[in-house]
Amino acid sequence: MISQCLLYVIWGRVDNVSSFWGRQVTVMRRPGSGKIYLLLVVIAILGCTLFLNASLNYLNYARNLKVLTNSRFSVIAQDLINSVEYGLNLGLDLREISTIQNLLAETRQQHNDISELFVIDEKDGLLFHSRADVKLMDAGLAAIIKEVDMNKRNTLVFSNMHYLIYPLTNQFNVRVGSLFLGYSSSLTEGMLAQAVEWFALYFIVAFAVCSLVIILVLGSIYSGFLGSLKKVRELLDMHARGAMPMDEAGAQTIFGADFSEFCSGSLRLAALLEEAERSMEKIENEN
Amino acid sequence: MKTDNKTPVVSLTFKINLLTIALIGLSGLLLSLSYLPIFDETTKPLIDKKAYAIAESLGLSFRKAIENEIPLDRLQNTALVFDQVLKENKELKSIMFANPEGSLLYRDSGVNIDKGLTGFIKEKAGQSSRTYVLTSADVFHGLEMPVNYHGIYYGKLFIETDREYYRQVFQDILFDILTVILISFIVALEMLKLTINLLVTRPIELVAHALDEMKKGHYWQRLKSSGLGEFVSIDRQLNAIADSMTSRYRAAAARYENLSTRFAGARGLGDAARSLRAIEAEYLFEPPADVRQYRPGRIPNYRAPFFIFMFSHMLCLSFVPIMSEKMYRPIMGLSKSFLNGVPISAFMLFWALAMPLTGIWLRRLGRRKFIFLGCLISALSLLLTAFVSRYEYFVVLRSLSGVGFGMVFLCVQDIFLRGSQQEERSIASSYFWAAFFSGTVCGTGIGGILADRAGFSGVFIASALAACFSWVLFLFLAEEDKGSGEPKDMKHYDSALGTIIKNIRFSSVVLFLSIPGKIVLTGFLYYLVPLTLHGFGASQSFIGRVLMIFSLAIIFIGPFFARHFSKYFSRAFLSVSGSVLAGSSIIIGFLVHTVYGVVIGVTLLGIARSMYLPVVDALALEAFRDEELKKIGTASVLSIYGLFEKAGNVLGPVIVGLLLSFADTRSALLLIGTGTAACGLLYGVLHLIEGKKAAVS
Repeated sequence: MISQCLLYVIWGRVDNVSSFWGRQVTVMRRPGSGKIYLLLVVIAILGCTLFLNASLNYLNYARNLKVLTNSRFSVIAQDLINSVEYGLNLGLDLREISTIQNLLAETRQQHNDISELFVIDEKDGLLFHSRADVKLMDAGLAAIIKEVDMNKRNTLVFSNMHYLIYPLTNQFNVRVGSLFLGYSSSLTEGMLAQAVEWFALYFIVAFAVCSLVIILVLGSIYSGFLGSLKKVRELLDMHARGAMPMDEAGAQTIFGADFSEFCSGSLRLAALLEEAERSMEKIENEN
Repeated sequence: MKTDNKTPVVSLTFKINLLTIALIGLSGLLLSLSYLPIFDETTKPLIDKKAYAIAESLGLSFRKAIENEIPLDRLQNTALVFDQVLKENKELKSIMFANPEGSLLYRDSGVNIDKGLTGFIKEKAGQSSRTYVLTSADVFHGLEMPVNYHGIYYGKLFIETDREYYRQVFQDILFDILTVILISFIVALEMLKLTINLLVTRPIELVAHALDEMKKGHYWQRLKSSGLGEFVSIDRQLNAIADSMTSRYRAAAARYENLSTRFAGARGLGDAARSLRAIEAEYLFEPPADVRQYRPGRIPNYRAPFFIFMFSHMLCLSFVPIMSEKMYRPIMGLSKSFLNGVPISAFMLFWALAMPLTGIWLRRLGRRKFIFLGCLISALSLLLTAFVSRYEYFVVLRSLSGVGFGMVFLCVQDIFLRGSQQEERSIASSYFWAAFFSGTVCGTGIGGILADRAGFSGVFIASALAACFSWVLFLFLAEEDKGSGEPKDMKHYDSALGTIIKNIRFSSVVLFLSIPGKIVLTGFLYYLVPLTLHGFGASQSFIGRVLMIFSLAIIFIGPFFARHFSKYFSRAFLSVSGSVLAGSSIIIGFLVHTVYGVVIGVTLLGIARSMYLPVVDALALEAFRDEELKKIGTASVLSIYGLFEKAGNVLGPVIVGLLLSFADTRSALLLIGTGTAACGLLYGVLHLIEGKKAAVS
C-alpha cells in the first residue's frame, strides 16, 4: 500500500502488471507529458551526480585537512614522547618522571591551538595534565578510552575535541602509559564550514547552468522526437477513419515499414469484413 | 525491437545519452577542478605550519644545548637527527643550521650545497630575527627559524619544504578528484540507462512489437499503457483499431451463424463464408494458449538494481580486514594474520556454496522470491555487522552476507543469460559484468571515503540501506519468472549435475578458460600486482588506482567488444585470443619489470578480460544443446560453473604463494603468463577437435 502511494506520487496512475509472492504488484503510468518527465528525471540525475561529486570532494577535503592537522600535532607529540621515553629508558617509573608536568604545561603554552595534553598510566588512570589543577579525567572520556586500542597510535573524537593518542613504552617495549594530545574541533570547523559554503556555491552554479542547458537542448531534441510521434498519431487517426496512409509516409515514421504493413493489413481486414457484411446484408434483404 | 528503421529512436537515445553524459562529465570535471584552489589554499599553509612545528622542536634542542652551556659547534650526531626528522616527515627536503657568521655547522646528509645556497645561507644567517620567516627563493623554499636564548642570537635553522612532495600531495588530491568524477560518472550512466529505457526505449519497443504482431494478423494484441503522455495516445489508438476490428469480426461471425441457421443454402451465404474463412486464415482475434507477455528492456531493468546491490556489498569491502584486525582476539592458538583473512574467505566460501543451493531451489521458488530473499539476507547481515563487536559474530555475519550475495548474483546472471538468444548471450554477459564492476568501483571508492567520516558502522548501515533500495528496485522492475518449461523437482538436479560435469565442452571451458581466468584475477591482479608495485615503492592509493584500470576496462570496453567483435569473430576465437593476450600482458610485467610495465600489463589484462569474460560465460552455456539446456536449466549450469570459478579464486593466491616460495616475482609473472596463454591455446585445440568430431558425426 505504502509503495503504491509512493509510486503514485512519483509516477501517477496505477496499472497492475505482475504478482509478487501472491500479491499484485503495481507499476504506475501517468498520461502526462513525457517531455517534462524526461527533463525532470535527467535534471534529477544530474543533481544527484553533482551532489555526489561535491559531497565526495568535501569528504576528501575534510580527510586531507584532518591528516595534515594531525600530522603537525604528531611532531609536537613526538617531542614529548622522546622526552618521556628518555626518562623511561633510564629505568624510571612513569609516575616518578616529575618533569612531565612542566613539559606538558610548557608545550600547551607554546601552542595555542592545543587544548590539553595529558598522560595516563597503563590502567588508564590520569597521571599528569597540562593544567596542574586537573586531577581526574572526564568520566565520559574515561569510559570511551576503554574501547580504544592503546597499544598503537590512535585517534578519538569526544565532545568537540579531537584526541591523538600515543603509547608510551619502556626499554622492553612494554606499554606503561599513553600520551593524549587534544585539540578543539573548532580548529578545523572554521575551515570546513568555509569549504562547505564554497562547495555548495559551486554545486548550485554548476547545477543551475547544466539544468538550463538540459532544458534548452534536450527539450528541443525531445520536441523533434515528439514531432515524429505526432506524425504517427495523425496517420493512425487517418487510418482509423478508413484511409490508407501513403506507404512512403508510413515508412517515414519511427516505426518504418512495419507501420505501413500494419496499415495495409488492417485495411485488408476491413475490406474482407466489409465484403462478408455486404454478402450477409444481401441475404437478409433477399429473404 | 523488430522494426527495420531504428534510426530515429537510436538517434534520440544516442543524443540524450551523449548530451547528458557530456554535461555530467564536463560539469563534474569543472565542479571538481573548481575545488582545487580550496584544497590548495588549505594544504600549503598546513605544510608550512608543520615545518614550523618541526623547526620549533629542533630549535628547542639547540636552546637546551645552550642552556647546558654546550658549544653549538660541538653537538654530536646532529646530522643524524636531521636525517631522522627528514625520514619521518616527507614534506621536508633539507635541514641546515648556520651560525651568525653564516658558516653552515650542521646539515642533513642529502642536501646538495652549491654556490647559490651557500651565499643565501651566509646572507640570511647573518640577519638575526625574533621569530621565524617564510622564504620562497630560487635556491631555498621554506622556513628560517632563529635560535635565540635570553635575547642573544646564536644562529639560524633552515628548514626547506619539498616542493616535489607538495606537488605529489597535489597530484594525489587531483587523482582523488578524478576518482570522484569517475564514480559519479558511472552512477549517472547507470541511472541514465534505466531512465532512457523506461521513458523512451521500452515504450517504443512495446508499440513496435504491437505493430509487428498486428501486421502478422494478431489482432488479439492489446497494448498496456506503455509509457508517458505521447505514447499513451498511440497505445490507445492502436487498441481502438484492434478493438474495432475484433468486435466487427465477432459481430460478422455471429451474424453468419444466425443466417446459416435461418437461411441454409441461401445464395450469397457462400461468399460470406469465404470472406470469413479468409479472415480466420490470416487474422487471429483470440490469444493463443501459450502466449507470454512481451516485456522488453529486461536487461536494463535488472542492471540498475544489480548495480545498487553490488554497490551495497562493495561499500564495506575495503575495510573488512581492518575491522577484523580491530576485533581480533586469540582463538584456538590461530595466528592473527590467519584470523584477519577469515572474514573475507568466509564471504567467498559462502558465496560459492550459495550458488549450487540457489541452482537447486531457484526454479521452485522463482527468481523474484530468491532475489528478495538474497537482498533480505544481505541487508540484515550488513545491518547487524554495524553493531557487532565480537570477532566470531563478525565472521558469521560476513558468511551470511556471502549467502545473500551468492543468491542474488546467480539469479541475476541466470536472468541475463537465460533470457537471451544464443547469439546475444555474450552481449548480455558483458552487461552483467559491466554492472558487477561498476558497482565494485563505485562501492569501494565511496566506501573508503565515507568510512573516514561516518565510521565503519555508519558505512555498514549505509550498505544495508543500499541493499534494501536494490530490493525495492528489483521489486518494481523485475518480472516474475519461474523459468517455464524447466523441471522443478529436486531429483532432477542430481542427474543434471552428472550431465553437466560429463560434458567435455563444458569441462574444457571451465578447466582451460574459466579457472585460469580466475587464477589470473586473484593470483596476479589482486596478489602479485600489489606486491610488485609495493616493491617498487608505490603508495597504497596508487595501487588502488592501478587495480581500478582493470575494472574500468570491463565496464567500458567489455560491452563494446561483445557488441561489435562478436559479429565478426567466433566465441572460441575471442576466448583463445583473449587468454593469449591475458598471458602476454602478465609476461609484459616480467619483460618490463618497472611500475610502467606493471601498469601496461594490468591495462592489457583488463582489455583481454573484457574480450573473453562475457564470451566464456556464453561458451559454458553453448556447450549444451538448446533442448538439453532447457531440460537441465541455465541456473544449474551457471551454479556449477560459478562453483568451479570460485575454486579458481581460491587457487589463485595459493598458486602464486607456492611459486613465490621457490621463485622470485619476475619468474612467477613469467610462469603465470605462460600458463594462462597455454591454457587458452589448449582450449583452442580441443575446440577444433570437438568441432571436427561433431562435423564427422
